[in-house]
Amino acid sequence: MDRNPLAPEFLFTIGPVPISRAVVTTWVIMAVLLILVRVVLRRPRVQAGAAQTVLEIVVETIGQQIRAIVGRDPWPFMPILGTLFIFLVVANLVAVLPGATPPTGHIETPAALATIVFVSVHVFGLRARGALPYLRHYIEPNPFMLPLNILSELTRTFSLMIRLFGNMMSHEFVLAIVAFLAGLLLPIPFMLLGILIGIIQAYIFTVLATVYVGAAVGSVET
Amino acid sequence: MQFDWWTLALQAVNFLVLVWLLSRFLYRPVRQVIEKRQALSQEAAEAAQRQADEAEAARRRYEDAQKALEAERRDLVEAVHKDMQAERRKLLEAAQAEAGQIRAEAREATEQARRAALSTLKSEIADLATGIAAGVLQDSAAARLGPGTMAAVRAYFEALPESELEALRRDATGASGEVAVVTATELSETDRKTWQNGLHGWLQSEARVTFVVAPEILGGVELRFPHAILSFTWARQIEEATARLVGDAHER
Repeated sequence: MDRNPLAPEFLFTIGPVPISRAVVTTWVIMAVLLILVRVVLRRPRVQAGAAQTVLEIVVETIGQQIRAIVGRDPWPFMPILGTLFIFLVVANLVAVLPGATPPTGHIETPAALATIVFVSVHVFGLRARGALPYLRHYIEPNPFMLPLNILSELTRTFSLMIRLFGNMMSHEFVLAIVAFLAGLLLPIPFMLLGILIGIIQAYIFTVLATVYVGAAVGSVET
Repeated sequence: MQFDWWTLALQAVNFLVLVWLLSRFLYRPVRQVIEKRQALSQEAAEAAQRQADEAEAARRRYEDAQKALEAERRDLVEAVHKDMQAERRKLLEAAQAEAGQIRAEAREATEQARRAALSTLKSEIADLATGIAAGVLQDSAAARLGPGTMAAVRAYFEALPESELEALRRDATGASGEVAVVTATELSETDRKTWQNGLHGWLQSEARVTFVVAPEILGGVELRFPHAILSFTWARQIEEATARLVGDAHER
């Protein structure tokens, strides 16, 4: 208990690169997801089975959400935004597994995701609107708004990161404290609450990212 | 709080790799399946639309055929109606011709009956006229100048009631009384004497007797008193016969 719970827990190193538990957990998540989709979608059929239908429903639901927010064809945004939601749901729900810690409970993972969202927003915006029209929106409604707009971009990315990290880290702390104080059975309601929190945080993170992307491509006013 | 940049980089790379993996093995197959399903659905919808179009075309064909049948039926009805009208007209003309023939025959028969009746009537009239004429001639011929007429006058006077005979006598024997004997021809002196004596005897008085010739009486005699005329002339008899023919006999 002497270790700082906010510090990354390194399991091993590969050359000069230390490998933390969050990275390993992420690899496991990636492997599980890869195996799942490969098994279910090895031979995708029009007459889908139950598992394929579930995956199709998940993908189509995400696509409908993206279409509802962005207002255009969701498939170009699906790889980033869909993967974001799926990864966050699975990563947040890792908390319910005994001995596992969600990678989103450490600041590096939300920071990486927020950074990717930040970059993706500009990539989508530049691709959709062109360089000058996209960059012009930073000086709108007048050039004096440029610093505030840049600050807004940074702070919203930072808030995205902090919101996810804070919620998952605090939930992990609450679980640890309750388990320490009351034993094994009492944390179960908190774990159920953790499932809800995990899904909600994944949804919030993804919806906000989608809103930012929509604003960048010119479909959403922020 | 510690921040490990290696972990940040690795997590970013991990996420990008996951993006690629899911894009390759999840989104692309799902999208293909969805698009394939949409294509099949579209084909099914198009096939359904084609079938609906075919059904619509079949319905139109059926309606056209029905209209054609209706037009044909109407033409047939019209043709039958025309045939019936022609047949009716023909029958009517035949009936009219037959009726005309019957009417002509009836008219001919009526005309023949009329002619027959007229002939019969003429015959009867001729018989009647002949009988009347015969009677008149028979009566008058005897009395034209001779004792036939005188006998008829004498019979008349003898048959007269006494009062009327007395009235005639006073009329003939009055102050200006006389009896004019009117004949169609001039009487001989002997006949005049005979008539004068006859009148004196029939009237039982010596009345003055004069003789007048009037050819218009044709024959017979007419006795003219001052206030009465006794006519036994042929003209009078013909007049009576004519009156009898028309059913209106006059008192003498």
